[in-house]
Amino acid sequence: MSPDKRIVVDVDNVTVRFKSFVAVEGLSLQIAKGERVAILGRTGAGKSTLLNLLVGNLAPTAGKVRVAGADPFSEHQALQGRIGMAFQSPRLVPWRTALGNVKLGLEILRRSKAEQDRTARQWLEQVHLGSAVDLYPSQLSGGMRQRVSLARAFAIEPDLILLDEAFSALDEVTAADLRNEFLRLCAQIEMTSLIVTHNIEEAFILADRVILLGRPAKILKTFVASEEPAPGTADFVAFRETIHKMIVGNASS
Amino acid sequence: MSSAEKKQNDLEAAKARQLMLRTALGYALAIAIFIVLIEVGHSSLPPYLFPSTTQILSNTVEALRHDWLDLLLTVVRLIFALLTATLLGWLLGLLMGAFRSSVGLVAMPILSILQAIPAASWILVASLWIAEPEIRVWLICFSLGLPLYAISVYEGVRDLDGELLEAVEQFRPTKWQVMYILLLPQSFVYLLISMRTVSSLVLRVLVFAELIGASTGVGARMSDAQTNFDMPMIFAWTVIMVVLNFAMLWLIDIAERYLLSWRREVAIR
Repeated sequence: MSPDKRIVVDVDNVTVRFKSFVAVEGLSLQIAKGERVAILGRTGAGKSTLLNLLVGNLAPTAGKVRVAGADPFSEHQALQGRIGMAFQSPRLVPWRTALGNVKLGLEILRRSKAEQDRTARQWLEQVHLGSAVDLYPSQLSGGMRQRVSLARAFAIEPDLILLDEAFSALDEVTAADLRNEFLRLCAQIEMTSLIVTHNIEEAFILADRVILLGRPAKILKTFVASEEPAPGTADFVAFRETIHKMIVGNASS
Repeated sequence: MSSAEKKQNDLEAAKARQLMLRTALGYALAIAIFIVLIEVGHSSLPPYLFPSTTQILSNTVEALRHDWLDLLLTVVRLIFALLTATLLGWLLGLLMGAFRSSVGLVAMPILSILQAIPAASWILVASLWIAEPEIRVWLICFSLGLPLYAISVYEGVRDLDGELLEAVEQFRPTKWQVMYILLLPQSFVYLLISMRTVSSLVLRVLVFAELIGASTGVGARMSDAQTNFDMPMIFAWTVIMVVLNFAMLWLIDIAERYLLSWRREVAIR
């Protein structure tokens, strides 16, 4: 990583304990501006705990967490509008239209009404939902709802986007479509992102760097995606098997 | 709109029409059953005890023609009592939900006790304590409606989806923003749904309160009919009250359909 690049996420030797249970142990991780990092690991590997640390829902037992230079837990409000998140389920507000849902973050950030409207419409256009602005979530398909959720996270143009299994509940064709959409949007505004997934192929499609987490959350191995076989190739099948064995091996050890 | 979406919309509209027709048929059947029962009662009992449907209808027309002011007064009282109970109940329920460990903790037991007090106790106590009949009738209806609305709204706030809250909290809103964006609309759904039961209940208690503690209104006119042993008039006012209740529920239904249009109702096949 070149030292001139601005660090957006800095997790420094972090440990999280819940009574006697160790969820994260001595984890260190840095993400530079514009970088996309994927976290791979089995259930219970501490992926959600890591997300909670970055969002500021949780304070580390030991170590330091910084997002855009601020401590997400103790400087909670300092990070207002600087972190966007898309979840496994779209979590749209059911009584708001697609437009109303995308406006949500902008409204909380107290942007002017005109700006809210303009920006939300622009982002809905970006995710190809320009004609669905007035539809309620109950009138949208699963893929469309997830697009709205992505637009909502991007609309505030945060410093960091967190994806928590955001495409795992969708069928493969829709998920592939949305992954492309996500990559296009990230490239457009040089977005820094942390993608939590259990899908090995997805991790290598979306990220520049893939981090394999073992239990309790500690880095087993880091891969630079461009140096590994490309997803969809025959070589990737064998490579995926190797990673799979590493994850399973760590879990059973 | 794509042709598939148009087809889906047409299908849904046809289903809605079919449901409306079935509902209307259901009501027509219920009315027919009641008419038959009244006629059976009329033929088996003396006419002064059980009037015929034609007698009831002619008395209904007479009541509406002569005592329409009493009906109007009852409607105004109902609207005022419901309005105040709804607004204050909504506010109290919201505060209870937003500040659970303080307002919620104190208000919930008080409301539970208020709810346990029989409506008859309210009516008797208010009749003896309060000289002004308008305040008396309002207090009876208000004290019945307020706890029901407040508890319903409180339950609505408690029922808020944690995942939805998490999605909103990613933007780090203030407590008031959470209230305005999530709690207020969520509680409104519960308020509107509870309106159906509460308003019917308040209407029934209002007539009873007027019967005991007022000289005007439908209840007072029913009291007159009872004193004069005028069974057709008692039946006539009952019919008017049933129609009024239906009209009220119909209005609530329209409001619900318009304000909760974002909801997709599921139907069991």
